[in-house]
Parts: sequence; C-alpha cells; structure tokens
Amino acid sequence: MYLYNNDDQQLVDQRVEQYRDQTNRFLAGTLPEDEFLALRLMNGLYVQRQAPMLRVAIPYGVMSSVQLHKLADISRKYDRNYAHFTTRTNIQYNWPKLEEVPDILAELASVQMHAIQTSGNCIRNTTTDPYSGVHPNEIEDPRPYCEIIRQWSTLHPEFAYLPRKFKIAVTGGPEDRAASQVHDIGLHLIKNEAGEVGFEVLVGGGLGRTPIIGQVIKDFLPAVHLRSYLDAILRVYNLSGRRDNKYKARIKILVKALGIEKMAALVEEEWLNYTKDTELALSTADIEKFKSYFQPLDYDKSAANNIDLTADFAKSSDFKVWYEKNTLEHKVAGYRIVVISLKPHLLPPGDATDVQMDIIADLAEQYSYSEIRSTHDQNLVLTDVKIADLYALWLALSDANLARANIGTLTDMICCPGYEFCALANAETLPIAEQINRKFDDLDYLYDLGEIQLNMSGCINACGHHHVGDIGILGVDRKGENYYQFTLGGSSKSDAAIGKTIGKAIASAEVANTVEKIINVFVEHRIESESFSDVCKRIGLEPFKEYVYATSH
Amino acid sequence: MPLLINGKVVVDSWLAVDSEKLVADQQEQLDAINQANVPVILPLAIYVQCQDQLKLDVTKVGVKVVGDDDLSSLLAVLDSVALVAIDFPVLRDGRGFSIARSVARTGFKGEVRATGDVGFDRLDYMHRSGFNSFLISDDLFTENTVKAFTEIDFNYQPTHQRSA
Repeated sequence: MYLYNNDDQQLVDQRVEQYRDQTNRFLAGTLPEDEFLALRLMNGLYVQRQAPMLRVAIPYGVMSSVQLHKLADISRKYDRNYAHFTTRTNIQYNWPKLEEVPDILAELASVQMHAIQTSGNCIRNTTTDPYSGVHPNEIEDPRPYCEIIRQWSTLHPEFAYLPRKFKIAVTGGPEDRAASQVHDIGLHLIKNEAGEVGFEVLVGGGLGRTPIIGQVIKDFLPAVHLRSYLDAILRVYNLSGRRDNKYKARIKILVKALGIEKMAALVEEEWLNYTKDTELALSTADIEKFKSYFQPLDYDKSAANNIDLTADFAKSSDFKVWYEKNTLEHKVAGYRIVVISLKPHLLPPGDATDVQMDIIADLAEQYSYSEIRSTHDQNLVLTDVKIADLYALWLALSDANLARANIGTLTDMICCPGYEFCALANAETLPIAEQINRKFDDLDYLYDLGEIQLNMSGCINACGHHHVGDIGILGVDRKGENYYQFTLGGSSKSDAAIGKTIGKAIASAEVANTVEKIINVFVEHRIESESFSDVCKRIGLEPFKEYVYATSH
Repeated sequence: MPLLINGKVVVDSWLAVDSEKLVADQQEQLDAINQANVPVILPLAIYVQCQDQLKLDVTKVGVKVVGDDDLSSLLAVLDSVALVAIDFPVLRDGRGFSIARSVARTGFKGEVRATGDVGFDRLDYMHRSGFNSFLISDDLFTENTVKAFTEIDFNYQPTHQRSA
C-alpha cells in the first residue's frame, strides 16, 4: 500500500495543528459558529442529535493492521468502544468530544491517517473496488490512480467551496463494486483497441432527492490525462453549478440542465485550452511510480499445492458454507479473498467493536499481509489469505462473531445509522434492520434466495443507497410515526438502475412482513435459480404491488 | 479595511466607484472619473459598456467581478486593466477561487484582489488560486493574519503553487 513520505506526513501533521487552532478559536469565541461549521465539516466533524460524529478517511478503503489497531484504540480512548464503517469505505465515531477531536486527529496522523475532506462541499474520499489488485477479472489495479486522485484532491485550494459535495469512484474491471454510476464522477479503467489503458469517464450520477445514473462524458481518457481532465470537470462545476438551492447544487443537476453533450463540450473546451498540457499531465514515469506502491505481494508459490479443503469441510459444515458465501476466487493460485461480515445477527450493520477491530488487525497480520479493505457494502476484506489458512481464520472470526456466512444475501444489508445517530434522519433504521434479521434468521433459506441486495436509508438523503438496492427501504416521518417506503429493481452494479416505488409507505411494525411478502412473490415467479434482480426485470412491479397491498384493501 | 499584499498591509490607492451613482448618471460620473485621474475600480459590466469613454491609463483601471458575471467578458478585457477585484459575497460561494485561477493562468500581471468574505481560514487557498491582494474587514484582521499563508507548507497541486 501507499506509505507516506516526509511531505505527506508534514501535510497531515500541519493540518492537525491548523484544525487545533480552528477549534481553539471557536471555543474561545473568536471564530463564528457558521464559519467553524464549514471548517469542521471539511475535517469530517458533524454535530449530530446526541453528540458530534467524526468521520475518518480510509483512502479507497485500504488500511494496514497498524492503522486498524489505531482506529480500535481511538474508539476505546475517545469513544464508546465501537465504530461504524460507511458505504464510502470510511469509518465513523459517534461519540467523540468536539474539544478532543484535534487529539484524535494527532493520533490518526501518527499512523498516516486523517479526516481531511470526509465531509463538506469539497472532493471527498475516492472509493474503489475492495478486491483491487487481487480479483481475476481486473483489467488493471485501480489503486495507483486512486492515490493520484487522493493527492491531487487533498486540500485543493480551488475546490474546497464547491456548490456541493463531490464524490469520485473508480473501478478496475467490468464488475462494479464501487457504485461508480451513482457518483459525481465514475471512472472505469478500460483498454482501448490499441491496448492502451485509460478511463471511461461518467459524470452526474448520484442518489439523494434526485437519484440519477451517471452518463458517459468521455469514452476513453488516456490515463496520463486523469488529473487534467478531472481538474477541468471540477472547474466547470465550480463556476456553473447551482448555488441558490442546496438540493439542486450537485453536478448531476448541472448535467441534467445542460444536457450531457453541452456539459462534455464545456469540459472539453476547458481541458484542451487550459489544463491538458499543464503540469497536471502525468508522464508514464509518474504513473509507474504510483504503480510501484501497489506491486503484487510476495505470494508463496507453494500455496498452490495446498488447496484441498476436504478434511476441513468434514470437520465443519458451517465452515464449508462460510467458504462458499464469504470467500472469493483470487487471481493467484492457492489464495482466496475473504469477506469479513459486519452484518451479524441482530446487531447494527457495519459496526465493529474495538475488540473486533483489534482481532481483525491481528488476523490480517497473521494471515493476509497486514492489510485490510473496507467495502461499499460495509464489510471488511482480507484480500490475500492462503487457502490452507482458511479454517484457522474462520475459527478465529467465528469466535469474534465475524463469520456470519451471509455475504450477498438479504441480511448483508446496507444501512445508514438512522434517527438515533444522525441529525438528518427522519426515521429509525437499526431497529428495522433487526426486525428483518429476526424474520430471516434461517440461513439455509437465505442461501436458497440467492443474491439480494437490501438497502435502507433513514431519510431522503439516501446514505443507505435505498434507490439502488434490489429491495430499497426509505424511512419517512408522518406526524411522529415512522413509515417505510419500498422500492424494487434498483442496482448499483454494472447494470445500475434506480428502483421504483411500489406504493404507499408501510407502518414500521409491518416492514419485515412486507419484505417477506416481496420475497414470496419472487419465489413464486422464480424460474430455477433465477436471481431476484432478473425476476424483477422479467415480471415488473405489478405482481409485487398486488400482493403487498392486497390485505390492506 | 486593511489591504494585504505580499504579507504586508499597504495603503489602498484604488477608488471603488459607487455603481448606483454610475448607473444613475453615467456621463457625469465618467467625466468626474476622467478628471480626477485616480485609479478606479468599476463593476465589470459597466466597464465593458463604457470602456471607450474612459480616458484613464491602463494602470489606473480596475474591474470588480462577481460570480454571476460572464467570465469570457472578463478575460477579454484583461489587457486593458491593472486590477481585478473578485468578490466573495458569502462563505459558501467558492466561485471566486475558479475566477481567480482563470485570470491568473492567462499570465495576467496586475493585482488580483479578494474582496467580501475574506477570512483567515481561506487566505492561503485564495493565494494559491491566484489572488495576490486581500481586502480584509477590520473585525477579521489581526496581527496573526499573515500566518495564514504558512500554516501548511507542502501541497499536491502543481498548478496551484504559492507565488512569490
């Protein structure tokens, strides 16, 4: 992974002191609250219903054991012994003290981490495929490009006061595990006919009040022009994006208003005339330098000779199920990618305790080159585990309640923290997640259902990505009561689609029952092992609507 | 209001023309400006419109730009002005950063002045985006203000370096 040089370290150290000074001035009353608000947000600090919330960046979801130990340590020392992993692969603390945040940042800086631009109207943490560098279908490892973007966007002086927040996601192959089509910019690594590596560039995707799938603004951007082209898009957006209404300020609204052709023409003009041939242009040597930070690991060739799990499977059928559900093919023979489920039974999705974080960090050290990834689906990944080590790893994860074999199933849900933890939320999500978990506690049944993505948000801002779940649930408030609006047919994968509402919102007590009804319709219409998504596409929404609302007539 | 240039507070020799008066009685105001022969800052739109009637030397002409102004009309007059004042109406409005960048990258040698909401925590970003002059309100200016430019020494943007 990328390691800080002296310049990187100096920058985060000075940033800590800069933020400490801002906090001190705010506490002393010399920095007005509204000004401090913009500054603290740009450093990931929200003030929520019950306490501040600090979001710490995990750049493109990659962290070391040392860093994860530090994150655990911070939750012990400054918070309530747990933290929450987000859909944009960051981590959030729900109970820090505002006056202690500078100390937390100093601790983070000591392990090459920070909270820079994890919120605010600026360029946020870039996200990517959690299997970067190890997935067999990858065209190229996207992490070097993510690091290029991280550096270019970090404390960019011109783009810190954009009309609204700005999110970039990068994919390295045909499968999209980064929800790139619902980002302000989606970058898809591709090869052109000449075999050169570059990007298909999408712009104007997003969720929130106006969910939109991104559109292609450039079919093929040679990799050397990555920074200069992003710079051009950002400048067009900064100058022309709406600032009169924050709900219409994202770049998706600008793209929609101009049309993609006009938007592309404006960006092209800016790029060709002003940014393409500046110092932003990368040389092949520059790119090679970034690639050198992400070289393939020193894999053990003999691992390929030790891949027979028959004996381990015989020891435990649970292990076999976990192997099938929570591990994936690795590009190197003898290794597997392991997904650590942060979706245990009846506990908040995406949360990890300090003890669990320490255990995962230790296991990464022992079994997976001391590296951990966080995923868009709010799980963690050990990317490089020898097949021969899987059983021992599974035992250790099981002991820590981290081996629920539910990856890709209905209970592997994406869920925002909801009303209890977020000042924006209108409705609770965690008790609803629990309700659904209680209803669907039979794992064998879940496996029979196949892959189903259930996403839930506690408000229209859609942090739980409900629009792009196979089943989406949006919490709304009606005169103090929570109701839940269902959408079906969404996807954040390569077939990205915005789900459609099936009817009026449903009372909170009926949410799990409604999910069950939806599943029943799916099972009834399913042909052989057809996926939920395919059935939805084939039969449309009507059968679901009829069945879900039938009893209320 | 203190005017900060190159880390020092300097005397502001520019006269900001009252745009309401100018609109109300353009000819009289222009005559007065020509007669006074001191450096003036005119709103961009008005300058574009009455450019030919102005008898001042280039070194005495400045324009004031706001976010809604047409950027191309600003770029078209850069050769005939010595100062561009870019206004930050509110904290949230960051268009001024990109306007300054658009001016600075043409090689414009004159003064690029930040006006409006110009506070300590944005001075360095303004400087690196192309501003070289900062009009700071009295209540925001302290003896510490110049430290804003040295809080963070290193940066990643080759196109947005601090000028000397």
